Amino acid sequence: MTGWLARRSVDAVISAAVAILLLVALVHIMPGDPLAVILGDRPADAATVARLRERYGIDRSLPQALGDFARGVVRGDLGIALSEQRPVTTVLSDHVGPTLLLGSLTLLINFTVGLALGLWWALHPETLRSRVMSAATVVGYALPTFAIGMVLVWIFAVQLGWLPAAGSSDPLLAADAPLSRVLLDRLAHLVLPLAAMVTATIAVPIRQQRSAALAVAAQPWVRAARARGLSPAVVAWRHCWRPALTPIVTLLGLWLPMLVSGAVLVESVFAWPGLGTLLAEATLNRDVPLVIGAGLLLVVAVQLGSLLADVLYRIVDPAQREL
Amino acid sequence: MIQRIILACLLGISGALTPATSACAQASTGIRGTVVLAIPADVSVPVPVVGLPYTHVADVTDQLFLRLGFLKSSFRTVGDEALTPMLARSWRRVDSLTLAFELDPRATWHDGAPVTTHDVMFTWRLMVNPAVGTDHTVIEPIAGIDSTGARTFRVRFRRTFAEQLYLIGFNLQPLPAHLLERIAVDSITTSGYAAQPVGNGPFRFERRVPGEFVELRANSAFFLGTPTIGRVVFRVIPDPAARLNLLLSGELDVLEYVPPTAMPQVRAKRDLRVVTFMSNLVLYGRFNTRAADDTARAHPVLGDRAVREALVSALDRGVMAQRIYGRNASVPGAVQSVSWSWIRPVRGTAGAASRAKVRAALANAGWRDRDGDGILDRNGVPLRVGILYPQTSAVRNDFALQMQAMWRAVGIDAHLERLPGPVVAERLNAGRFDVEMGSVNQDASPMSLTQSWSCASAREARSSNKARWCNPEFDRLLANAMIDKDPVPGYRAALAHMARETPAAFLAAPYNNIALHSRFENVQVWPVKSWTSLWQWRVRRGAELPRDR
Amino acid sequence: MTRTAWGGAALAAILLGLAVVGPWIAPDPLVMDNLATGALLPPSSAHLLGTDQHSRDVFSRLAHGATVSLTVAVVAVLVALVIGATVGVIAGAGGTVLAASLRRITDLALALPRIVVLMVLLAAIGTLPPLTFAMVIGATGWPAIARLVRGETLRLRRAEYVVAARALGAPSPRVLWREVLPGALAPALVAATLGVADAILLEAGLSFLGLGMVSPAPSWGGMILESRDYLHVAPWLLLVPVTALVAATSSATLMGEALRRFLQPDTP
Repeated sequence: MTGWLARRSVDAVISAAVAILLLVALVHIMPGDPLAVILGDRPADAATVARLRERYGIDRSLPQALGDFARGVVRGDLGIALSEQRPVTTVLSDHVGPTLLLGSLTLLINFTVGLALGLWWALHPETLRSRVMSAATVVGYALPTFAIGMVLVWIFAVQLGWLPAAGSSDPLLAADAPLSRVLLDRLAHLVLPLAAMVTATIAVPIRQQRSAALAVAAQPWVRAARARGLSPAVVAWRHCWRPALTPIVTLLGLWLPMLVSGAVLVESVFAWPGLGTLLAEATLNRDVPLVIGAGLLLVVAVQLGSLLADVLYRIVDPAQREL
Repeated sequence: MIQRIILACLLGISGALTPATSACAQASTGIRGTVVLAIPADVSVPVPVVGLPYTHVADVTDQLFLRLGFLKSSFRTVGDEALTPMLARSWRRVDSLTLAFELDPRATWHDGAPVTTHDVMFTWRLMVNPAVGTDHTVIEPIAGIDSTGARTFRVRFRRTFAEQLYLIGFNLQPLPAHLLERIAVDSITTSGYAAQPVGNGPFRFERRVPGEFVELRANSAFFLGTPTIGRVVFRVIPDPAARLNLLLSGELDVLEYVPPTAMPQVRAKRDLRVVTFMSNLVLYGRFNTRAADDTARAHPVLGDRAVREALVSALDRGVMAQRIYGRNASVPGAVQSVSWSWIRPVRGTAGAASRAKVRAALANAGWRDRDGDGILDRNGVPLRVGILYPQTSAVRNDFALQMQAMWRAVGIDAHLERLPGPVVAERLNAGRFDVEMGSVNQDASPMSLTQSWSCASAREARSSNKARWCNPEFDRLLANAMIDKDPVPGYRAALAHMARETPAAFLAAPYNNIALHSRFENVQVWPVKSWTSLWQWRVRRGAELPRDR
Repeated sequence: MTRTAWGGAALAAILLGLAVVGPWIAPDPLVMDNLATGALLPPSSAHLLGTDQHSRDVFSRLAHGATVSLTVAVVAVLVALVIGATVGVIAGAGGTVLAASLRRITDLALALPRIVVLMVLLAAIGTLPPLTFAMVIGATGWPAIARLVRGETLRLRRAEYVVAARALGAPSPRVLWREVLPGALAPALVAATLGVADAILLEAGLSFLGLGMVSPAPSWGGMILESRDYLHVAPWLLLVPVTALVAATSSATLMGEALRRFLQPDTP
């Protein structure tokens, strides 16, 4: 196991490095004028343009840019974000929290409620309730995340006034408010974005879990268990559960990117101060240092996720261990 | 009804900034009131000069940092009485090229240090540093600033013009030298100062939660009077629909440029009212007069004035503006926002000419549908124009779609080029476009026309004259106007000439329909810097919300 | 075929009919015939599905949008499925250098979130016409399917029937093709049917971010996007394209299920 883990880790590092190199190269060839965000509508003379290009490091060739980037990573300095005029590391750490909060809660709900629903669905085929479930997953998945968000805000914030319409916290809450109030406030702001994220993504674990469970249920050992007179619930728990995890574990490694994708749009609808909107804005603004910095963060996180998934893979399916 | 509201506002604005109005006398009862506003993007460096050059950044920094003076109610930018004293207590003319200023001795930074000439000199040196990238049309006419005492200084200009006072007095926002001198210019934006700036305005910086909001608190020691608003919160809400939702759910107190489709809902809320103010916004589809591949040659289609005129006459600009800004948006004849109404406006034709008439005009210019495909052509080349604009702007997208539909109706193959901002900037700078769907917050001074419409700016590489429009007669009229003691007739003549030459389809000069919570009194909204007198707003007694206490 | 499968096929036929015939019978979706008073009209006999904020006919936009959105979705899913299944099975078969490197490439491609890859890719390439745009979307969709197929292949290689086939002396590629692929494809098909919605939604999201395709006709995603400012005054602007989108996804899912049952008659 340790030998395998070491090899797998080296793989992950190489993959991450190649992905980042590709990203730096792609960003380098993007059309557009990165200085547009700094200068706005202001006219600028040649001296100013040259000075600004030098300051933000957008006057360099690709090899130079790669070299500087590598040196920067070693020093923990990823340059200055053009659109914020602050260090990329500061900007990223400012925005990573809200995204992690929203993402991890979505993940938690998807992998508890979602898996349970998937299993339940597999055990209750061809009933009215299972058809309702089928329709609900299709519709939930087909609805654009931002449309769900729009409708939720319209009903619960604007019409009913139960929940806040945007943001991740109440700016009017005093900085020294008691912890209980802060938590309550955070929770109130989380409900709608979380609902939008979950509605749009939960169909995947439900359907995957269902098809995996159904595939397992067809296996001889499960039929044998049924034949022994065990109740479906017991069969499900003892026999279907573990083998059915394989595709789910595969999915787990893919979840982080999926969450980021969802976050880009949900964060925008709810003015959620996370990485998703930051990254989208950075790409559109040609904020080269910020795009690369955010890309680095994502690649590292995703590689860790997929490493974790591989480890779980081996735990779930012992047959893999020989590979 | 709306006209009457505008009139009331225009009258009400006069005197709003005089320090000793009765409004401030009442403030002795104590500071209270919270105003929650929305900004479309975060303000990570809330410091003028070094911060980013956007309206939403100025919205925040103008609460923290004073200008030497502010525009009077007429918004006239000409003459030595154009400004009301703010940080400068007084100024006098030394000669046609020199103005002498005296800073208000009561003015202090939020840390207690006095505001001195040293701060002014420091800020000026910063402005002319290329690393900062200050608009060179602001610094170019100024030869230099000389210190003449602890609180006095003289500004020397390179030439005589009527808006010298406006140029320096409105555009200079001193920064605290004692806090910034030791920081390298390139490090200011990443310094601790930029994260917790110290200003000299009616509000001091309290805190910023990245991506969420910026909070300011009243500066009780403000030398022009105690603010009657205790707290200002700028919430970062990029999405226009989200801003409207926050207003309707009561989480936001003020929203600018409320679209007409949202009006019924806003009016249905009893605690909101809509007030119409002047605005400095202008929208236009600017025609590129030079060929895309070779800027020395005229544009093959749009270089022809007859074609430009026909394109404009095909647009029903009255309906376009009304759909997007509501009933009280006007159609300008030249690039002229409502805030320039001290120069009598040159009006544009609101309605469109008949399709037959437009087609006849285009046929005269050689464009006919010879191959029967519905699109006009000349020498085998179809009449095809791209409309270029950044993807972020919903309003520009609406106008562009309308232009496209109206042009297609007369046989012009108009297509949209909705691209990321930096790509648009790159193409504009290179001259690779046909029609730029533009939206500008116009400078208070018509002097700014030289930036965007003069022959000199057409030759500069990165000027605002992206269409490279060059008309010597317009330049001559503008130059005459600028040096005239009463420049109004001159500016008017220049704008009328522009209207005849049709360098753009001027689409709308809207008023600013602002929805705000009805508990506020003494509200003034300024066309150039909307929230300048925010510190003088008051919360009506008995109407306070929990957040006001 | 079951009733639900027929339902899915019927739905697909209606939508494809709309996509093929719609543009011929519906008027030009760009025309604003009455901007002054004809905007945001509710459905009526003159405008079956009402008009939008620019007085454009919503039915016309829906019909023209069907062509765009369905082409994008189908092309993107096919591209993703073909690349993904091929790479997945070969990588899952293991043993060869090719398999190992494909696995690494899959992992690498998976290392970046799809919308981010697309954002950077499209930002670098520039805006594209619908067909090329769809291929780019598809080209970023394969890694997930490849990984799924690979996982299933690994599992099925140990399955009794595969082991049995191998014990009977069947050559390896043949086992892979005849015994493993059909089994491994089942979860990929389920994922692919959901991918139809994915592609349409991605297109909507990307145009939301200003990186959509260059197309004179509106896409459904774009219509949903534009409806956001008019939700309160003209809810049909949201309901019409969302209904179409849900119909398209449902039909793809139902047919996918039918396909799964056909390929794997053993499973319920």
